[in-house]
Amino acid sequence: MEKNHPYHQSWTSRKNFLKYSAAAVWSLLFAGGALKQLMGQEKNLRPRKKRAVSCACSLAVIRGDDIRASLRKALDELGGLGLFVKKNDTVVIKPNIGWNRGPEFAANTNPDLVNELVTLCYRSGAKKVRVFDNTCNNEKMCYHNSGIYRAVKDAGGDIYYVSDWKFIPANFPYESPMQDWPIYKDAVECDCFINVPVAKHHSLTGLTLSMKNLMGVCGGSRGQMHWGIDKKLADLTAFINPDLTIIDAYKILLRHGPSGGNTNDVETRKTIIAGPDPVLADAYATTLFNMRPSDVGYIVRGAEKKIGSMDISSASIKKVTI
Amino acid sequence: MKPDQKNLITLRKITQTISVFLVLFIIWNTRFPLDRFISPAAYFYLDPLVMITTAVAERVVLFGLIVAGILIAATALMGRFFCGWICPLGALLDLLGTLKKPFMRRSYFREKNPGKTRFIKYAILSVILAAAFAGFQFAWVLDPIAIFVRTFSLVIHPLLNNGLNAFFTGLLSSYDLPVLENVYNLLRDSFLTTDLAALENTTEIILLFSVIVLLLLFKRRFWCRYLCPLGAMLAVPARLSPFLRRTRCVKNCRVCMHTCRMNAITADNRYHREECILCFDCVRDCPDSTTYFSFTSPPAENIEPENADKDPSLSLYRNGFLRCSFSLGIGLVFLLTMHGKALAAALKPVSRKLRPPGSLPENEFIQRCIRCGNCMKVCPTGVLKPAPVSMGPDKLWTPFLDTSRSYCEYNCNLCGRVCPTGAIEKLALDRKKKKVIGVAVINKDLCVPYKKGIDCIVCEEHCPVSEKAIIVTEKKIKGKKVRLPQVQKKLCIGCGICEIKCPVEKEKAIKVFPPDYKPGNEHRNNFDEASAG
Repeated sequence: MEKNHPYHQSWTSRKNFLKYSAAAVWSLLFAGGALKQLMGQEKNLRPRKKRAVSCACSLAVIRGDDIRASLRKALDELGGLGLFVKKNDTVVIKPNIGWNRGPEFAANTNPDLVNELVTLCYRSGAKKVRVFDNTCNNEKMCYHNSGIYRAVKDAGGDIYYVSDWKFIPANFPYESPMQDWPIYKDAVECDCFINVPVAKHHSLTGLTLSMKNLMGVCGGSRGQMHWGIDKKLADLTAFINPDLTIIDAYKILLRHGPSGGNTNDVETRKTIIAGPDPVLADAYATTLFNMRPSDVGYIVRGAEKKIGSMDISSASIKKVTI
Repeated sequence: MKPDQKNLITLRKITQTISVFLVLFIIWNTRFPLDRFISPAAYFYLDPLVMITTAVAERVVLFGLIVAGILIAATALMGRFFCGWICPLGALLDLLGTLKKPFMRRSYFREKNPGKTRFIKYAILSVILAAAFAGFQFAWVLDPIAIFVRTFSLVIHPLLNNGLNAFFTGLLSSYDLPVLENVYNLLRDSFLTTDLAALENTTEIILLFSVIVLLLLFKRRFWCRYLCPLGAMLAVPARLSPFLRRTRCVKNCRVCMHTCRMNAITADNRYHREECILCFDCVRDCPDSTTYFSFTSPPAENIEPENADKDPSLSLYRNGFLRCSFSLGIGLVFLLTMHGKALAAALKPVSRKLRPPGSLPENEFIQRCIRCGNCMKVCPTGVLKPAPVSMGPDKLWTPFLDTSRSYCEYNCNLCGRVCPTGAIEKLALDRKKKKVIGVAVINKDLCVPYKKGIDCIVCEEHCPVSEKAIIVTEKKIKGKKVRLPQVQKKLCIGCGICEIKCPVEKEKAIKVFPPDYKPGNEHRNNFDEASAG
C-alpha cells in the first residue's frame, strides 16, 4: 500500500487510532486526578493500631561491643522479633537520618544497627521493609553521608525519600494540638512500626529519644511543633503507636545536639535499649545521660497519657552484658 | 583526490554527537555525590577564550591555560577543528540546521562571496581582550561553552526536573500506582531533586540562547560565522595551519561555495582558511571529487598560478589593520562606559547579597566568575541562584545565596569543586566549614520566645556549627522561664539554615546578612544589634 493512500491519512488508521487512544487515556487519568483533588476526597489519617504482644520482659538493655549481636540479644530477651513481625508484614523502620553527618558523630542512628534490623525483619518473614525519614538537612546528603542508605540497600530493604503528597492530615479521636498535622501515610499504613532513634542531647526537650524521633514522620511546618512540644510529641506517639522501640545508645551525643558535629561530644556507651513501650524505653535512656525521666517533658506527658510507664524502678527490665 | 575523506563527515557527525552528549552527561552528573569520571570544569579548561581572558583580567595563572594552550597549538596545526568537531553549541546549531532543512527556501543555501560581516566576531574578541588587559573579564557574555552549559544547567535541566516531578506527583497523588512509584523513587535516588526552583532570573539566559538559535533562520551557523568570540580566537592560530583545502577544480561550478556552512569559500574557489571549520562538506559535495584536505601541496602542474599567490586569508594583514584598530577603539569606549558602571557599583551600599562559601572578594569574584552555572547546578539545596540584572549588569548571572529559598549545606563543598576558574575556592570540608558567608541576626520583634514567651529555639537546633553559633540562655519573662536564642557573631558562618527553618511565618525572625553589613542598612530595621552578642 502506498504511503499517501487515503487510509493512512484517515484518523481511523491503526497508527492514529493508537496515538489518539493513548492521548485519551492520559488525559482522562489527569482529568480524573484533577477532579479528585478538587472534590477533596482525600481521607484523613486515623491513628495506627498496635498488635497486642506479650513480651518476656518490658525492656531489654544490652551492653556489648558488637552492636549487631547486642540487637539480636535484645530481641531474644524480649521473646524474638517474630512477636512483632509476622509473615508477609509490611514493616516500617524509622531511624534517625535527620542530619548530614557521618556515623561517628552520633547525630543519626548507627547504620550497622539498621542493616542488621532490616535483615532480621526479612528473616522473620516480612514482605517489605520500608525505611524513610523526613530529614532536616538535604535529604540525599543525609541518607548517603549517614551510611544508612547503603546499609538498608545492602540488606535488601526499601529506602526512599519522602514525597509531599503522602503527607495526610491526621485525625485524632480526641482534642489535640496535632489535629490535622500532616503525617506520612506509609508510617501509619503498615503492619509493624519499629522506631530506631539514636539517644542524644537536645536543648529544647533535654534529650532526643524515641518519641522525639517520631517527628520524622511529620510534614508541614515542623518548627512550629516546638511550640508546646511535649504534649504534641505525646499525642504523636499515641497516634503512630510504635510496635517496637529500639534506642541506639551505642554512641550517644552528650552536648550540642541534636546535630552535633564534634566527636568530643560523643561518648561510646555500647548500649541497646529495646522494648514495646516507647515511654519506658525513653525513660530508661535518660539514665545514660545522668538524668531522671521526669526531667524530659514529653516522657512525663507520655506517662500521663498512659501510652506507657516512666517508672523504671518497678518495670521488668532485663539487663545483659555480652 | 583521496576518496576516504568523504567518510570523515560521518566521523565528524559521530564526534559532534558524542561531544554534545558528553557535555550533557557532565551537566547531568554535576550533582551530589559528584562521582566524576570527568570534571565538570573539563570543557572550560579546554576553552582558551575563558581561560586566557580570566587569567589576563585577574593576573593569575590558571590550570586550564595548559589545556587551552594545547588546543591553540592543535588549532595552529590543524585549523578550527574545535568549532566543527567538538564545540557543543556548534554541534547543536548544526543539528537544528538539519532539522529545518526541509522548511527552508533554496535561497537559504545559496551563499554570496564571503563579505566583511565576518569581522564582527574579531571586533567582539578584541573588545573582550582589551577589557581583559584593563582588568575586566567579559568572556562570560558570549563564550559559547558557557552559553551552552549555563542554558542547560539553569533552564533546560530545571524544566525537565520539575516537569518530571510534576508528572509523577500529579499522577501518584491521585492514584495508587506502585510500579510508577518505584520508578519515581528510583529517579529520585539518582538525578531527580525536589529542591530546585525553576527559571528564577533566567530570562536573559533564555533570551540569549533563543537569539543564537533563531539567527539560524538567516544563515547556517550564523553565530559561528559572524559573532562567536571563541571562534575568532581560534581563527588566529588557524591562519598558520598547513592543513589546507586543495582543489584541482577547472570548471568553477561554485557548488562548494554554496555548500560551505561557514561561508569560507570565495566565488573564485579559494577559501579563507581561518574561517574553515573542517566540516568536509565541500569534499563530499564537489561534483568532480577534486577537493581534498592535506598537509602537502598538490603536484606542481595542478596549481593555478594566479590562485596560488593570492591567498585571501592574507587580506587581513593588508586592509584588516584599520579594521582591527577601529574595533579596538570601540572596545576602549565600551570599556570606559563599563568602568564607570563598575565604579558606580562599588560606591553603592552593600545590599543583601551573599556569595557562595570560599568566594573571592566581591570585585575579584565578579571578574573571575564566567557564569557557567556549574555551582548553581551542583548545589544540593538549590540555595544558589543567578543574580538578576537589577543587582547590577556587572553582576548578572553570578551565583548568590537566596536564603529565603533555601540554605547552604554545612557538610558540603561541591560549589568550589566544580568552579572552572577558581572564583569559588576549592576547599576541603573542614576548611569550608569555617568560611563565613554572612551573619545571622535575630529580630526580637518577631522572635517567638522574645515576643510571646514561648519556647522555640528551632534555630539553635538546626545550627550546624558544632559549638553552636546560636546559644540559648534561660531568662524569666513575666514570671515564666523562657529559653532565648542569641547569635554568637564569632562562630556564625551565615549558612542560613536558621532563617529557612524559622517557624515564624511570612517575615522570618532570624535572617542572614553579609558579614560586612552596616548598622542602619534598610534591611535591618528591626534587627537588634544587641542580640548579636
